[in-house]
Amino acid sequence: MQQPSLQQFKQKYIEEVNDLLNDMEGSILNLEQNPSSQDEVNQVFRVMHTIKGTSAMYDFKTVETITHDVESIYSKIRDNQGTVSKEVSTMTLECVDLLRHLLNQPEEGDDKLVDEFLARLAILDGKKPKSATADTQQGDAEQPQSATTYYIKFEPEADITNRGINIKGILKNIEDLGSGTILTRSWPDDQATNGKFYMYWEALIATTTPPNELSETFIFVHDEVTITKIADFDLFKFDDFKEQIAIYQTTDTPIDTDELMALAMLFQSQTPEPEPQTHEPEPQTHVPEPQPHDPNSATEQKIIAKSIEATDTKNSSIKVDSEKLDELMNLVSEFVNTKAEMLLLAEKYDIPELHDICEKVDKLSNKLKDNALSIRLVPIESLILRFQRLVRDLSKELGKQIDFVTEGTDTELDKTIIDNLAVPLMHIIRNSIDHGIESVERRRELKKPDHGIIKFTAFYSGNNVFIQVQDDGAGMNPVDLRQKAIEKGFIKPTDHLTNRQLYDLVFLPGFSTAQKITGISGRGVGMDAVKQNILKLRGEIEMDSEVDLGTITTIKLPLTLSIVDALLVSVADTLFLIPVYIIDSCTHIRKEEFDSGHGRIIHEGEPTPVIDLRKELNMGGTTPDEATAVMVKHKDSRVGLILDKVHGEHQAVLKPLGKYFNNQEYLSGGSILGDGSIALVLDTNKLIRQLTKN
Amino acid sequence: MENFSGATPYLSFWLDGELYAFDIDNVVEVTELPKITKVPQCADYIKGVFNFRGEILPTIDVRTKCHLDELAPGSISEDDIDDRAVIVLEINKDDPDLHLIAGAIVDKVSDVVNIKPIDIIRIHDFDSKIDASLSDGVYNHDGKIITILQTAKILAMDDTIVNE
Repeated sequence: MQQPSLQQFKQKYIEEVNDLLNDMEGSILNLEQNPSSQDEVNQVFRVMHTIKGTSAMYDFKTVETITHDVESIYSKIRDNQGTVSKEVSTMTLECVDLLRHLLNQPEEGDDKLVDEFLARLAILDGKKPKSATADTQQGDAEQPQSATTYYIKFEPEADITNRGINIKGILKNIEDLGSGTILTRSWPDDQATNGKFYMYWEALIATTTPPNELSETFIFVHDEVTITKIADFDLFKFDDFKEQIAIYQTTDTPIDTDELMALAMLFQSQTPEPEPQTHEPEPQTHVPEPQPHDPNSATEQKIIAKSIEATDTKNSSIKVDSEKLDELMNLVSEFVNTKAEMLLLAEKYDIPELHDICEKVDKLSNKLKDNALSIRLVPIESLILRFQRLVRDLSKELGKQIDFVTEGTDTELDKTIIDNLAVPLMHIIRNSIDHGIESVERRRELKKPDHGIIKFTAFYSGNNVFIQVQDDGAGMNPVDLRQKAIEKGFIKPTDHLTNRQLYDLVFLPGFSTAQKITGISGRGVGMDAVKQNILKLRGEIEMDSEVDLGTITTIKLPLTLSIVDALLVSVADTLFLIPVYIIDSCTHIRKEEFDSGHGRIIHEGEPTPVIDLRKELNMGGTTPDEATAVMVKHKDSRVGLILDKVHGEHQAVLKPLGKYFNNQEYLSGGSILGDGSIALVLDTNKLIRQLTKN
Repeated sequence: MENFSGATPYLSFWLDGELYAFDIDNVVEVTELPKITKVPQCADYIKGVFNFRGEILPTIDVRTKCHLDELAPGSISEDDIDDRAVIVLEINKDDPDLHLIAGAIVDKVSDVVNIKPIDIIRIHDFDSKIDASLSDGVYNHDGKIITILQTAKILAMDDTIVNE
């Protein structure tokens, strides 16, 4: 009965394509930084090709057409018939967006979008200086490849000889690549060598060696060799070029690659034309896939086979359905529960042999739990990509110059948390771009560098992960915030608020400080929603700012949502769990003490506010004369929670309480105890906030 | 679910001396009254949470939900207290937004009855102890009246928070 339907396959296909597009987006952004990266060009090409293939299978005709056209541009680039210019990368990013749209939220009238895109793509393709010959060279793969001219700079580290590397050998390798010149250089005396060897070498080589093999040549000195492609053809065929080299050689000036590339552009028009070929498509028998209109297939297959080989070796991870991970997590949770049950029995019957086994099971289950949790952990890097894209697009749109700097992107968090972080972080970064970083003119007035910086940092601290977004923009003025808050009636003119409290106002619903509403942010719903999202993840958020210096937003998150070490306590008949990390201390307390103290007791010499849970939560009955106060950390101080009894520590596997308890925000979930009964997990910060309105 | 005669099976149960029934399609399981953990500051009809095969589910007191009298202590015998059961009900399983699952506390589970839609008679408030809007109608089962309850109405979350 459970035959997977075509619809399900389609769903799978869409998921796959979405993943591929994400990868590709990263490649394009990398290409913008480093347009000559052959690996990334191959990656884009491969993605387009894969999508094209599967789209045909599922009858997504438009997707097929788009990917085909983009693919052909990259195919030319790959064959050195063009470069990844800004226009190309922008179009490719647009292509990513368009494909996402077509697959995920197709609408009527999309055809127009597609036609318009294809038209622009065609112009881009046609504009390419060598497009006429590009096509003719497509079929050349079988023929001997034409040479490419590279500039190779070899700057050994000072310790190179200690590492047992033979410099002569490396130079010989360069020589063997093809025809060219190697210039031996020594660092100018006035220039510190910075831990480098006292000599370095510059080479200009025309070679037919493909780029990937080229870099393999330098595998042991990878970091010490820079390879720059100068031209797609053999520059040594031109006498002018040789003359230029001679100048470099005699004057001892370092080679200027930009100059050479410019020179190469001049020569390009004089390149001997390859023999003209017909544009006829190859016979269909050569084409393994049903793409009769595609003259490139044979070449493609080769390249793809090659690239797949390359990726196979570097990729040793497997993709697992996240549902399976959830299931694993559930099983582990059940196991942890069952273990607790067994420990209970072992204690009850006191069998020595059983104790030993229990200890082992306890250790194993802890390891198993840690392991299962770690599988769910995903580096935060997976989020960063979208933000890079956001910063790039938005800053362009707003005419601002912004560098997006990241740190600690390998910090790992539970996948569920990562998934739910994208939207709030997006919003914070948008705010920084839109309201934080000033226009270039304004920055000049303030004597700040033209480029604004948005810095994204993630790091661990204890049981938490901290994420900070910092900009060096205008900052928030506490005076303005105060004014705004009074205008909107959030505070009274007579209220005294610290700067920190004023920044907290930003998170209130309906509070917006943007001077004008832009399409990007500033509708006053933003930070409020951000805060709600973070709270849902059991996290906290806080802002700090300095006028004209910038704003820093700090988010504190739990490492995982599913297991917490907690203290088991009871109030009336109900069992509660309080996370251990929030507890400061526990103390016995007599009823008279807190009855007479008007909500405060003296704890360790300091008056400390206390909350009688039984009373405040309307749990009925009376608090026993001998009660316990659990001191929990709240903001920068401590608050005592008065309860009946502390039962001990418990490793709580957190389970949702479900929709019926959405109003009980102070409960972050429930946990099943060894005997099968349920304890409620308290979020003490929310509880205290709710009960004290603070 | 419809059987060959065009009748739908219903699970009938006792509540305050009368027979009621849920469509069996919505019934996940019937269990004896489990240990229930009270949750503070809930709606009055939620008696707390219980452990249902490793999941935490709320319990809804059907008496309270139908505005019937609470079961007063001592009003029924020890044996009858042991009869009390939880019927785990679930609706809209495929729609996460509308999905609801909870245990419904009833006095005693009775029987499965096959009822044809045509045999269900609409009721008015004055005919019945409960609010007619909670019910699809009544069925005359060999002289015994069974009131058919709408599962969705019993599971519905009322926004009223009782804070006694």
